[in-house]
Amino acid sequence: MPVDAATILAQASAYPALVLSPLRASELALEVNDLELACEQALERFGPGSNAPFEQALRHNAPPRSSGVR
Amino acid sequence: MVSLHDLAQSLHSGNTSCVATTGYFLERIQRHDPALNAFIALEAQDALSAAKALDLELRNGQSRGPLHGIPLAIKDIFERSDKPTSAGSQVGGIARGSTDATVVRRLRAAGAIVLGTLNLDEFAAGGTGDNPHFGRARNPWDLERITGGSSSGTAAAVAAGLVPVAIGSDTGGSLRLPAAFCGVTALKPTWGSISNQGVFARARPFDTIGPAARDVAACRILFEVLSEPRPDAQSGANTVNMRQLRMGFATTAFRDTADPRVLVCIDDACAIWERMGVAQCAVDLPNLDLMTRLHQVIVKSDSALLHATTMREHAHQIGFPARSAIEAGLFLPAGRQQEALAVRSAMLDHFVETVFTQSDVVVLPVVGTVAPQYIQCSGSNAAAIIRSFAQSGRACRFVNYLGLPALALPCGFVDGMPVGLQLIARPYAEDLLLAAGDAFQAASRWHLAEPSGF
Repeated sequence: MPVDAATILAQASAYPALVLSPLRASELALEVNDLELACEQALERFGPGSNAPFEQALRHNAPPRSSGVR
Repeated sequence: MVSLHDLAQSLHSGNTSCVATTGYFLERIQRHDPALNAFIALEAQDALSAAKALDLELRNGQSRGPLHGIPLAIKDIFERSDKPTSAGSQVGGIARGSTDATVVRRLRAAGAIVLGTLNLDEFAAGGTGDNPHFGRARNPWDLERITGGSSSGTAAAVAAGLVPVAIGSDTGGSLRLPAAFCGVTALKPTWGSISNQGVFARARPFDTIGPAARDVAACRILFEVLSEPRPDAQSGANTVNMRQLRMGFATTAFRDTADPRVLVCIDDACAIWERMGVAQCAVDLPNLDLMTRLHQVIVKSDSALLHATTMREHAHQIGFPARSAIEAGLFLPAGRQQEALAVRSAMLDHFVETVFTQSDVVVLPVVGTVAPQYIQCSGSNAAAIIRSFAQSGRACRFVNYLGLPALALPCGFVDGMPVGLQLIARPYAEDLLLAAGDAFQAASRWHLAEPSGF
């Protein structure tokens, strides 16, 4: 369910020092919705992924020892 | 301006001393930094004391290596036992630490002399160098133009020759962008290659420490000093054969939006590598927009987590660029960060399989423009600049999302301002990047250009 500016403003009350204008709340709602959409698109394309440490993926994708440039 | 290599030779041959070298750079900082605002704090007495001790070691025949007696400066994000760390903020920095950050400890152990701390965008969050608390860092090539950020002081100080090398950080282009705008060389290593212990956190899954310098050779020395040893590491750059290197150039992602004159500079750079026998092919970089957005999911979520208390109590004391870099994370459901992190490995596998089976390194712009003027970054012109920076984010952020190493190199000028390219490679392939960069700088002179007046 996409969030709207009113939802953002309501949630922002948890941060007393954070004063948001209605325009800024609208911008944030758009941004949050787009970022949530990105997560959904990623899950669709790549599945749920892995909780293994990312370092494993980095090591797995390091240059092969027999790389032709060496 | 003298290279790190030449400086180290002079120090070790006795042609100059650590004290004289430190004094030389301190004098340059005192003379030129009022115009540049690259430094937040200068630590002259500490630096001269360290230099005296290091001179004594050299006189006794003891050398700590190529950084022995080399003055440098660090972005103000590193915890130190004897100094506070601002992180470019009045409310979110690190009080005097209990110990030195690993990077600072390694630098000092290698004989480097810290002259002071460098300006940055507040919380290392921002791309202009316009700090609301410590003032604007100025681009040495044109003081009316931005340096880029967030490692604004890092790039400006090196470009103006206030220090031979400096340390910055890169979470989404924060080192590469100012390096490109200021015409210096910078290495963003593979994520995790350099310890983040004691470093102010911007977004932990991406934060990467790296050096900026005039040339690749200096970046190599800093990387060797700072990087964590890898038991499975391969041999160094001496074994890289340029004639066997395959270079991909990114075609689809950036050419439609970049300034054509910037693309000419990059094409000319590719021609230099081609003349060395480097095989070249076009490559399509998959899922760029998606990775750029997933990067932002993680950056904003992690920043919100790190700064929740500060935002709750002191948001009004934080400048708009830093606040806006955190705010959306306050309203993203917690599970989204985990989702964006969980698909990261699969996306890295896919990217490497798609791109790095046909090429060893890929060349692409750091950003499709030269540094804009500060006045263009405010008021009614701001929207265009924001669009321009969105393109910059597109060229840089996916590199952090995938944890890849990248090397930013000066490759020309447009309107009198430097243009930068970046090379990217597989994880832990810094040796390939450095070798390709070394070869490029041996055949070109862009990295030797100096701004006038310094």
